[in-house]
Amino acid sequence: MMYAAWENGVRQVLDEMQLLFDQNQKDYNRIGQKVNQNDVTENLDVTMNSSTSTGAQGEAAGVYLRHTALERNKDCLLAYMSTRLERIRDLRWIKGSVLPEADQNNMTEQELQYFTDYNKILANYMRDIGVDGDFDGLDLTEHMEPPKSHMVYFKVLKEYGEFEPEDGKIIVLRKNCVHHLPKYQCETLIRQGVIEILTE
Amino acid sequence: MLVKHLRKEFYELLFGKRVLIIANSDIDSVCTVKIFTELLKIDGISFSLCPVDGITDMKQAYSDYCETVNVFVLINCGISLDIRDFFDNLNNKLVFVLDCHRPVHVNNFYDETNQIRILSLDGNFDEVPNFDDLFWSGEALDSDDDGNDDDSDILDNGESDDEDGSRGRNPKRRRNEHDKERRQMIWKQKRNELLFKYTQFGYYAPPSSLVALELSWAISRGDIQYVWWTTVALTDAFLLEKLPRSEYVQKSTELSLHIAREASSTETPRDCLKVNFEKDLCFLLYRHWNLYDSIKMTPHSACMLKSWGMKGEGRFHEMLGELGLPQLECHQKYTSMDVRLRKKVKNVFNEPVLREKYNFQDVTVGTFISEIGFRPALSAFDCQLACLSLLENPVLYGSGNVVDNFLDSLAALSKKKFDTLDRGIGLAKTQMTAMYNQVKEFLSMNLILPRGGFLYVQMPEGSPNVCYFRNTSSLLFLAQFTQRAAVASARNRRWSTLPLVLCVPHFGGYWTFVGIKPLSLELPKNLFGKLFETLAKKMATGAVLMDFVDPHFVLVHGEHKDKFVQLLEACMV
Repeated sequence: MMYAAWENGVRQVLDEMQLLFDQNQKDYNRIGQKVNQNDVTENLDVTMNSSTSTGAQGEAAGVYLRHTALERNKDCLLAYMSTRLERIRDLRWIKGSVLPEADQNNMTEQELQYFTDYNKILANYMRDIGVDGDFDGLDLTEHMEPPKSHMVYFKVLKEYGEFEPEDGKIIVLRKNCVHHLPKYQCETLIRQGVIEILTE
Repeated sequence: MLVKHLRKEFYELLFGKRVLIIANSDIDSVCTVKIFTELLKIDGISFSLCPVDGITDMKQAYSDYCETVNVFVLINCGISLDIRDFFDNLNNKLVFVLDCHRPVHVNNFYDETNQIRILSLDGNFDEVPNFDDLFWSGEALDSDDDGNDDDSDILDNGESDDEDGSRGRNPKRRRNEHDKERRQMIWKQKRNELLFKYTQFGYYAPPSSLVALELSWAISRGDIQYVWWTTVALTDAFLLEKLPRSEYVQKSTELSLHIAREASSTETPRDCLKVNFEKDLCFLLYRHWNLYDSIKMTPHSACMLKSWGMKGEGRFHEMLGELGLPQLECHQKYTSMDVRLRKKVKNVFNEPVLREKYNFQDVTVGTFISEIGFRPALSAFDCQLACLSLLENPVLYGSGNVVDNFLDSLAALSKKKFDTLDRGIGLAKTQMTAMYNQVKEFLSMNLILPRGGFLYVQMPEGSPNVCYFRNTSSLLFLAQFTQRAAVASARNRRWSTLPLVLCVPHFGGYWTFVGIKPLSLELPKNLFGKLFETLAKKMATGAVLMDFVDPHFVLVHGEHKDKFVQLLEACMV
């Protein structure tokens, strides 16, 4: 589930970063000039330790603070973006290769591009599995966890009536009856929550 | 038709088909279903399981699934019904019947189309009347009689209007036909007699789980678990007197051989199931309860001590004192008893003083004990009682639903669901206490009355314990306990030769009647099935419902109850 990109916030953060950076540039140049005037030829790194009693000490601290703030903003922005991308990848596994409208509207163009690229990579990988022979690739997105057996032993929770799985043979599902059927026939039932899987 | 080869003629026909298992609600069928479904799950065969409570349920299950399922397996139900008649539209379906009830309906045994197949181990069907005695094969008998007149018959068939020489043969032909009719009547009479003699007594074959165990061996998927489940079913048959003791011992020896084969070699890891056959005390649930209550409420020991009365209780205390078991310890949970006393308990009940002074004997019985992990040992009797109490769980303590109870019972048998098993043991203790109290009530209020040729017991309508005795196995257990108690406390020696009829209120204004054989009769042959059927025909429609799978249970409407009992009395003189 994708939320709308917080574009305002990102823009504000970027503006703030720009502001901080400009201030830092200005102060850095001014300190440089002051140090030059006092003829200190050693390295001009603006740390609290190396600045002397020229009055640059306070300004150096300020520059350092702004630099830390800049770094923190960068980290936050990167974390935000990377979380969104992770969610997009998860969406592919949960919802499939075509996203619903609501989610698509909440993604930026670049994110949509990322999604398409990810789809392509995943499809290529799945197709490459077991290429030789008749095996046409494996759909890894079919099961959320590795299947233990290809049959399901379950009890019907709600009265469902007649159910027609893919192979066409109808199964009657009465309430409280117990069945043992192949998994591929029961996928939809499991997702709908009509049945309760019994562990024995 | 009888299936001779379990693998080729039964199991291999199930692959690729969808199977419906219709199972009756009793412990033997729970164990059989457990073994059978495990095998099906391993082989990936699709199946559906429908536990049923009676004949109408069976029919409902069949009609729900008849369009979608081709193979039906009936477990512990259906063998005494004419299946072809009962299940309509059996066109290209297969029905396998694995049922321990006897007698087999003759139409099922002699089914020509091979659609109805009976699974059984013994093949001991000598009592079934011959095919020729049951089904009129007219041509065979005709050719014997008309051996002389063969030529004339052929001529007669060809020429209907030909008068030449036929006038002389007409009286002869009429006489032959008259003879044939007479022969047919005699044959029919003989047939009816044979059928009556055959279906007169109802009894039980060895439990169906034994067949399931053989099947697992035949397809090379044997496991010690299956043997354990089979021992539970065998114990159930023994406890409810469906098998005589000699047969129980014989089958136990066979199962010991199975255990010896299936048990792993010398070193078994701690979490493997180990099953042993040992001599154990016959007190039910004593390991999970306290010794005092267990001895007091087990039917066998209660009847020897007559512990329901003040005098009996006094003698019981005296006996415990003489054996050196302090009462305080006996009232404690068995697992918390003093270790030295616990070791003593096993041997102390064999002392001769018990037999002489208190007439307390025969308290050890060969039984199967299973151990797994670090849990205390579980005897087959206790496991069976736990499963039974879960299976017949009244609405108070569970959903009261047939399927949920069946599934609970199945779960209690499994290796890992210990909480279900513990819950079952708790329920079993409640049920035993209720049964004991009920028997005490019967005796103290003098509700056991001899009426002509049988003992009649009616549970009063507002009894608080009624909810425990609505289902067949519990009712049977109660009836047997009541009979033993009645015979033990009666002065009249004749009571041990009388059968007993117990009457208990059911839902909807109906009463459940159950009839059991006399105590002195060793073989478990029960004549009440046929008796109830004949009486039902004499009463108004709807008064008597034969809905149970076991024939010696019947439902009678409250208004017609007294008339039913009077008719019964008249029949049983």
